[in-house]
Amino acid sequence: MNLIGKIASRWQIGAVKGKCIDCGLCNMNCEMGIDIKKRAIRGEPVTLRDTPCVGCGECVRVCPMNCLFVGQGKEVESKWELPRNEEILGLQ
Amino acid sequence: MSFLATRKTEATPKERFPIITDKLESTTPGLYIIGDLTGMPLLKNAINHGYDTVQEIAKQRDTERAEADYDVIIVGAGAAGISAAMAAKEKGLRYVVLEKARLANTIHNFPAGKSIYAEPVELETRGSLWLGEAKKEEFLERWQEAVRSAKLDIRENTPVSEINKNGHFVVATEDGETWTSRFVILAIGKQGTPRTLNAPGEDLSKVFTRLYDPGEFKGEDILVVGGGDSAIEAALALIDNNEVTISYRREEFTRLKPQNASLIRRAMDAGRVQVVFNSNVKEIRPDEVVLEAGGEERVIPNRIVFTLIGTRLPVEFFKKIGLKLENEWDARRWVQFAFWTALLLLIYSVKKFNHGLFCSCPLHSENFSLVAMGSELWDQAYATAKIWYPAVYSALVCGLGLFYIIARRPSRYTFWRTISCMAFQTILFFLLPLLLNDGNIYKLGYAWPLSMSAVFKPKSARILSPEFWWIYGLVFAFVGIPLLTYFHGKRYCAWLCGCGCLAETAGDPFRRLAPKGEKAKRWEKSIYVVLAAAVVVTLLNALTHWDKPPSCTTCLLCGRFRGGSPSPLILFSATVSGVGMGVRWLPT
Repeated sequence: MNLIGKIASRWQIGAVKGKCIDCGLCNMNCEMGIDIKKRAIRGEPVTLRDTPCVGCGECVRVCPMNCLFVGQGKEVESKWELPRNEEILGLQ
Repeated sequence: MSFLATRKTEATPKERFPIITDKLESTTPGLYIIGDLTGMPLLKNAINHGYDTVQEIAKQRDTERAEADYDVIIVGAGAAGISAAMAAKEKGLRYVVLEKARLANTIHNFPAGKSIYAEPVELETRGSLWLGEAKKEEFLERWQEAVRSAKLDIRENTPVSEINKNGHFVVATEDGETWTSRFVILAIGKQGTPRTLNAPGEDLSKVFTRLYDPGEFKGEDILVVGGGDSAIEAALALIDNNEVTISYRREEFTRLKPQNASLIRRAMDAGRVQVVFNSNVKEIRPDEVVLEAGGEERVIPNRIVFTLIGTRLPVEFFKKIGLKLENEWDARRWVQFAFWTALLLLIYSVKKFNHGLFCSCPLHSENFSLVAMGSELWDQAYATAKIWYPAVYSALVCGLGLFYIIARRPSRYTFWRTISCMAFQTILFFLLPLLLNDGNIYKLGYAWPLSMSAVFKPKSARILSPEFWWIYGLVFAFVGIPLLTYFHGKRYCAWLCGCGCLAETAGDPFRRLAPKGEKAKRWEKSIYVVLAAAVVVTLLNALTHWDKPPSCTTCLLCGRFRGGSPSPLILFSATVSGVGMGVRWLPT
């Protein structure tokens, strides 16, 4: 199943870019030890290629920012919210 | 995001949090742990923790009596502590807040003008402490005003050194005073304990663990250690007026927020900042620092160092006050673990092998059987185990599944996942096989290679024909599973398979204990070895005993293609269950 999932799986856990606050709850609660946070920060989907995700959905449940979501195919690829950091630091 | 942006940096190493109940009570009854210390960041969460815990304490106040100065001592005047104090005042509790530094110190330490957000918007804020979006300065003013107008009893500059329980709590502060109370709320956050480099010279006065005001520094040679958002934000704030070098132990910035990543990239391209990747700080001297990069030492002139490599839990303090941390293995836990593992293994073996314990494996000859196979006792044990094992298993999955649904506030997704676990386990792996008395029913849910026999023609079938089960097994494994994976991802484990269902329900409190990191990921790959072995064994079995299906994949490990035996794999699964059961059902 993992092997098949590597080659083809429509279903993925997606991440909204710019929403992750780096709190680490997803990683902490992932029973499969996947580095979800790293992908969430970049806004990349999680169940792709080499992740051993079993689809338990706990990362989505514990995410305090609703950054993670369950989606199919293209849904998970292009989510974006305006960044706020530059404004915060007065940089630009 | 915003208010946490100056906080975490590196990939957070696995931290051991203190064990707490759903009501946030620690292993010391009456001592509650709230806010950032629970592993859940966010101001809103901390405020709710403070409010909820005081409601809980207020309920118990009426039922307990103790001779103490206070009902509750709140340690730490951050978001959680202030919220708890407000709630305590409203409830008429006798309370005091002991704060190491000053009111809302963490927010004080944010860079000037930083915006603070009240995320997540969907979550309600409980209690009466204000929370909204504002710049740091306005935010602080509002909280200070709130504390003033509520006349909260907050003692600043009063670091707590010890907490003992002797009937009631005795809290000692560093100035030698003692305070007594019936409850203690620990709300000290993580910001007081920055990670350290463990390099000589780290204690020099030019080394800082936080950047307060970038405007203080002009024309200095500054080293920023770290590659997380807080380090990069500090470096970016300093590059206009200083010579800034960043030392990072990894080969690239991988964890940055996109905005920070593009800003630092631009600064690097413009030559406004030097970044030394793959480097460690070897020594800090008054006028220079020694970096080690790629086996070489580099000495660079330096006046100021910022080590922004994250914060950690105050583990030493937890231990000092006698709290138990997650994942601690003491003698008692080993005994529980061994007991449950042995018991489960025994039950499993009896259920699995109707011809004797460990009997058909050449490595464990019949002499090892605890009960003589073929004897009446054995037959009875087998008959009982055959029904009760799946019954207990299903009851566990359903009971703990219901507990999960009620206690864990599942999302819609996890709600249906749990329902699916309960339904599949009960119907497919317990009721149907029991009612129809046909082992072939298991093939509905267990596909090859999980069940080796699924792709072989069974000898007999009470329901339908052997041909049907044969074709079903082949179609399920080579068409059904791929389609399922394509449309639903790898959800088989968490939604359907019996062991996965037990893991999702009984294992729920232990998710945090799962091994993390690259090493664990490499181990995960061992599954391909098992898969390859399964393919080989299936082919061998098909060639040699094409008419006799093997009993399980694990036969491989005892060198026989027919007949079952407990293998390392089964031992391992029994062991895993043992951990879960042992920890969950016995007091620790």
